[in-house]
Amino acid sequence: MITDSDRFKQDKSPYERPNFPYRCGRIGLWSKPCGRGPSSEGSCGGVSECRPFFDNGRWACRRSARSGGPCEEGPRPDGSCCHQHPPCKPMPSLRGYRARLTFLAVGLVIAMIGAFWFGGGDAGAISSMDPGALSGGHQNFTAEEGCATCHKPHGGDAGGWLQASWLPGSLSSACESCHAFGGPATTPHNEQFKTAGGQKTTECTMCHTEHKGMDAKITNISDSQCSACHEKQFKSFSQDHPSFSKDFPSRRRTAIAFDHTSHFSKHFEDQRYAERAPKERCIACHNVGKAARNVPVRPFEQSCARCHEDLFAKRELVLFALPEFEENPFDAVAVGEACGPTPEAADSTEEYESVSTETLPPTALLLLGIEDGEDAEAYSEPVRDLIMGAIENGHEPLIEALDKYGDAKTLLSGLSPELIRGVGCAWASNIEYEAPADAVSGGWFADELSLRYRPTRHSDPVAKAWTNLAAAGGEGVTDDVRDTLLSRSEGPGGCTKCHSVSQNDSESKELRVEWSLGAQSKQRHLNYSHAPHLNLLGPGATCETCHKVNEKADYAAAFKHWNPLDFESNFKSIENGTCTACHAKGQVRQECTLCHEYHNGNKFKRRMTSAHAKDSGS
Amino acid sequence: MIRRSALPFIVIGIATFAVVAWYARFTWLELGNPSIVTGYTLLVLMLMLGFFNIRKRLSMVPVGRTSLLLAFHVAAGLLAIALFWLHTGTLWPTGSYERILAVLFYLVSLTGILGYIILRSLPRRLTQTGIEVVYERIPAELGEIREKVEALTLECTEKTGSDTVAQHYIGTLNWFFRRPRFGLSHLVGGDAAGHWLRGPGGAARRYLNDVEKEYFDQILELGTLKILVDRHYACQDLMKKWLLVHVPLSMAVILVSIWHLLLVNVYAI
Repeated sequence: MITDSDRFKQDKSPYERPNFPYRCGRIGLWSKPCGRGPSSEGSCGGVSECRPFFDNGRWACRRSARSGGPCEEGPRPDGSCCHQHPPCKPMPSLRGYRARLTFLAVGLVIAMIGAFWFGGGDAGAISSMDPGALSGGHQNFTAEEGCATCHKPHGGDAGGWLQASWLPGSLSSACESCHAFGGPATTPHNEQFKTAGGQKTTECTMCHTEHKGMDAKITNISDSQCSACHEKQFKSFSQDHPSFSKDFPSRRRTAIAFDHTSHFSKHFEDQRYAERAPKERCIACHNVGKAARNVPVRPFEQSCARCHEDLFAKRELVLFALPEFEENPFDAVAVGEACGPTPEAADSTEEYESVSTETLPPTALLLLGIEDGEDAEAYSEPVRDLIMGAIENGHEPLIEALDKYGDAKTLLSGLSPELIRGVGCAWASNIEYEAPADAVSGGWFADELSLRYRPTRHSDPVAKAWTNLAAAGGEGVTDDVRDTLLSRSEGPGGCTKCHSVSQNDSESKELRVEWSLGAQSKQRHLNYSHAPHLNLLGPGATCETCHKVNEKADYAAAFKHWNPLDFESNFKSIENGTCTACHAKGQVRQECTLCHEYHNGNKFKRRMTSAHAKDSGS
Repeated sequence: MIRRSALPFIVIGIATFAVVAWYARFTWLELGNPSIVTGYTLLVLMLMLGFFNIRKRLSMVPVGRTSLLLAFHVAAGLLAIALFWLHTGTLWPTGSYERILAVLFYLVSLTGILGYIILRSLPRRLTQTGIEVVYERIPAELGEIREKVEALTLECTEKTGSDTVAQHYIGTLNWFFRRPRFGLSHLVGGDAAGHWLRGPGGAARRYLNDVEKEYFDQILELGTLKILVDRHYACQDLMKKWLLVHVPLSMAVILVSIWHLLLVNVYAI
């Protein structure tokens, strides 16, 4: 007993250890356990009090001293103990229970993994592979292939899993099946930088981690992460961001040659135009309602037309002019058959004298496919063929001749076959063409010795087509043709008085007319929006808070050549201080991604269609 | 509350966390995957924590004193909690199996903390009893006390010819001596058992003669001893049985963590 100081002596103390798997069942009844205890398999060992020993021809009792020592009765003749008891039901020890519960927990985990394996991780199903909901933008696009849309090993066999666990992941290539960029997907900023130390390879998952829930912002990136790669390290925008370039933000020539300085200080101040001059300065032409990265210029009709609407009527295109012939190249009989008799034809006995003393205009050379418009011998035959063809087939020969330079139908849009035939007959008869009426509105018309086009309005398709033809250049488009068509002083080239003409690259002769307004800048990673700034500045503030006119700039000089990067803006460069006046610590946000966009030309490769729309057959 | 022997391990744990956290942040700044370093560190740590359970089976291996191992276990457990949050970056993940993993981890952590509190507070109360008794022998001790009480009762009845003590034993004391009583009171440090023994347990004393009182006082003395054994039982039982929750959950956490490791290696890394 506990009060007995000798209770741990070997003849009193039972041999009990916590690591025994079973304990005597009598313990469960809060009684003294038997001396022998249960077996390791969990059966009762106390049915008899001892296991008699056969010694020298007789059985001897071997009851332990702790249980009272050898009994008086001794073993039975058959060698069994005479003290038999009903067996108890041994109970597991605590360690036994713990082992059982541990196996149960392990079994339950394995069973759960196995049971929910077939959920496959697909949306809506309970799955042992479900890593969490995709972000909102990616919710539906996995409807068709499930996890395998991005994770190629999904659904594979054990070998595939084993291989996938050792090989690097291919998630970026999966992203690229939908996302496209303006450069390599796995280079920083999708660009090829010229760096001394070589360029790192990037993976989409470096910044974008999915399965964080539907509302997760997976495009967030910290300023510190931006600084990780950049050689020029800085703490914050307001503190030590590198200075903006001296030509920020106008690194490239504007599409429209609009000299803000001269308009503001000269034309708008001129009393002759006082009524037409905009009173609201910038917002008279710039549509602040649609402000985004740029504040777009209103259409021509709303911004420029009040002063420049009569500009187009003066910009006539001379498509063809009858040249002087040394000898009559036309067969009078054939002309008579095609056009009918004329008084001039009847009087064929007179010596031939060409009604025209002109040379061929450069545009006519395109139609005739010749190079010299002054060599009468060289052009007589092609001119005759073209005119006779026009008499017989209207404008078909012209279309055929221009087809190799572009969209001939647009180039000749609105040209009447009757006009062509009438002109052809007159010229083939060596007489001046007499128009039935004066051409008061725009379009194709002919005067005595030439076929002309007068633009009808701004953005006239025929004038644009001829200007584009000249800009594109190519075989047959001589410098003479190009100079004529792109002349800012006359002809359709007058468009280029405002719409700048740019060279695509220094190696190419191909030019491009900047018909579209808006930014032509290559600052791909700049993510600026005017809209919130305009709202903050309010109606009382002006654009000139940031955009200060540079009156000394030689703006017009930039439009005398074709290099769009050789440019001096009408406005002074914006400096860091302009932005940090508001974007600073404790004021307005100033993180990198507020103004910079990581990707170059981020776009989708394929159209996103929701699973629901697909199911419904729409 | 925390043992002095655990302090060096806690300092090492804090230092380890600082190193892992710094390296994870460095990796994150380099646009790497900090989950790899935090995840593998956490897995190694969990396996080391799991090793604590099997140290008794490897008693032949000199792995250090149990008190030191326990101190290490406590410090490593706290480090594991910190690393878990560093690894997940959230208190509650979004995926279903990850949530199961989080629940299991939190349960293991909670039972671990509760277990440590139990192991730190209850032994002091046991020392105050003034006796020592092996947990496995408590049923035998209680049985022996009961046998002695019953023997005294019989002897009293035979000697005095009065069955007052026997009737009181059958009617009242038998309930008390049959098994451990007032477990909750013992756990919270109360004296409900002593109060009961002095009250209903000893209520028959006024009706006894002097000889019977002698026997009855011996019975009450054994009752007082039984209260001490009961206190041992209540405390030691809790000190051992909390492991019935902690250990199986730990194994489940390790298993689900290995499943998680397998999935992220196949699917994500």
